[in-house]
Amino acid sequence: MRALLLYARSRQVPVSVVAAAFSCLVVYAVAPQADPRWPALAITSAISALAVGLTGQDADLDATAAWPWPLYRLAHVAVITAIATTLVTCTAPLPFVLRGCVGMAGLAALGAALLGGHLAWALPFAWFTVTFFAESWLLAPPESVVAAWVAATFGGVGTIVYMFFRSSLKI
Amino acid sequence: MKALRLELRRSIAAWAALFVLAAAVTLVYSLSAPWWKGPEAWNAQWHSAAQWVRFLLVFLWPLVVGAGAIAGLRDHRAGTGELFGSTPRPAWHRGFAAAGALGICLALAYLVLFGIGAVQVVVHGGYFHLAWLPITAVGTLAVVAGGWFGMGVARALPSALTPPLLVGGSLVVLVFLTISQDPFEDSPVLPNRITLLSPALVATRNVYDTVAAAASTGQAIWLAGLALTGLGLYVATSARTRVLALVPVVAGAAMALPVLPARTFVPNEAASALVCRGQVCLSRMRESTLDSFAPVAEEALRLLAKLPDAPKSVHEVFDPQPRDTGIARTADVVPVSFNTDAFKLARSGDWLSVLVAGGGTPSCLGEMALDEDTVREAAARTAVAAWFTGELKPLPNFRYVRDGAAGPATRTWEILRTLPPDQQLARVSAARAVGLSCQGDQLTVLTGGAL
Repeated sequence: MRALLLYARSRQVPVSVVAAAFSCLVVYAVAPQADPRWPALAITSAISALAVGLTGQDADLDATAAWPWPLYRLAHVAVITAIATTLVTCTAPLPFVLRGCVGMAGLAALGAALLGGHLAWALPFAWFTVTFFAESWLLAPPESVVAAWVAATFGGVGTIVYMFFRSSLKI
Repeated sequence: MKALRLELRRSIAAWAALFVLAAAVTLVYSLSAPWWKGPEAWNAQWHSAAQWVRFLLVFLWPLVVGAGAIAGLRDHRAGTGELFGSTPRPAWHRGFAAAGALGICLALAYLVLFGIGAVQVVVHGGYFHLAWLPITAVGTLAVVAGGWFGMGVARALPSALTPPLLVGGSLVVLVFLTISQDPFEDSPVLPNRITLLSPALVATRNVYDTVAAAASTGQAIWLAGLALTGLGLYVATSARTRVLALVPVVAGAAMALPVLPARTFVPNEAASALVCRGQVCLSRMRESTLDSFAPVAEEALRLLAKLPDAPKSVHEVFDPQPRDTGIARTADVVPVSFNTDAFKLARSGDWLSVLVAGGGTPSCLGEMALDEDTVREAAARTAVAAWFTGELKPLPNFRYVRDGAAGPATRTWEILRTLPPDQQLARVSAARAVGLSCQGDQLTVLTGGAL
């Protein structure tokens, strides 16, 4: 339990959760409900805020720990997705939010694997930008089966890459 | 100087600029978005290239702020703040070198992006006018200000969460301000001068408009204030200097708001001045089209001369509002609006039928509607065009009702051709009168009530 608490603190989980909740609250307060882009923005912001902890302070040091890292990393992405889904459901129906969070968490995990946790938010925001001009699973109606599968693929691929790949980028 | 060179080579400045440029080029080229369409396409005119790049700032500016925030967090991530604080070298020496490197790289990225559009404009033979210069200068200032603002905020609030929250926050603010800039909005959500605090401009709608000088001046003042505040926050070492650093942004806003105009766009007089060849007049911006357009227009005037109140000339008209039906209707001029579907979708072989359609009158109902009246008008206009040119073919506009209008148009043309010549002329002339007044129904007039 103590290890878990220390892990959560070193990965800045508490402050990330507060930031994610704050961005959801802002969207909930200002946004007209009709446009699905507002809940999508809430999903993007929440996942981005939570994703800063996907890597630690020092990747090389982490790698020396005798921990089953892939398992930890899988659990971390799953927890992020769950927290974000819980927070964002205040702005949109659950299937829409869950699908968006799964896909965006996959993108964030991919970003963390390629660029490091402090830059992981770049991919979700890039995807959110693209949805302004192109059809995307993020804004599809909640009952769309294809969108659900595509989002699940994004989530799965991103998580698997994150489980086994470590960014060597030092910036 | 040496420090600046080192920063340029070793910091993330160049990478950030490359990333922004790559994101922008990917966004522009991977989507068939509005910036590729019509006469306002970003590769068609100098002004539209400049304005579309400014439009892209809705998405690029948050990215630039995020890049600045990452650059500003460098010392915090490396944990070297205390070490550097103990050196005798003043903080602003190091700060200016880092900020200068980021500013130079981001400004270059913006100019290269505009350059990609400008080269294509030159290749396409766009009309050269200096209206692009202030638009691009303000855009360049905007990316520098965004980068420095991000650096300053990240230095003042050092946390890994600062970049994503800054990006998210600025994206929300920019999207909200920019969509509120819509000049067609009857009841604006925000006063226009507030929406102009966003460095992004709305999508290009009309190449004959340009950004008012007051708008560019005001935005330059405001962005300069923002840039100075970012820089000040980045090099500040005490709480007092941080508070002092906020002065420029407040002063910039206070000075810019009275300057910013209530309307962002003003007509570009030089670009829309008419250049005439005989009876055919196009704008200076379209002068290169005149060679191929004038003979067709003369031919159209010759065909229309059969009518009793025949039009005498063909003139280009600019940005009628509402776009399709707001064109001024006068008996002696055939109006040409290159902003309407009739000319947007026309190839040069279609020009003659478009000019004589409706007897040289513009559409009364708009080309985008789907209702029964629009089908009837499309059929009538097609039949009249066929009566003048002697060949029945669908018009390039009315894209949504074209198929439905083909049958009635054929029948109308057949009915019309069986009549004696003087009656044919009388009915076409009556249809033209309906087109000029927009009172009545052209198809009823043409077929004598049979359709």
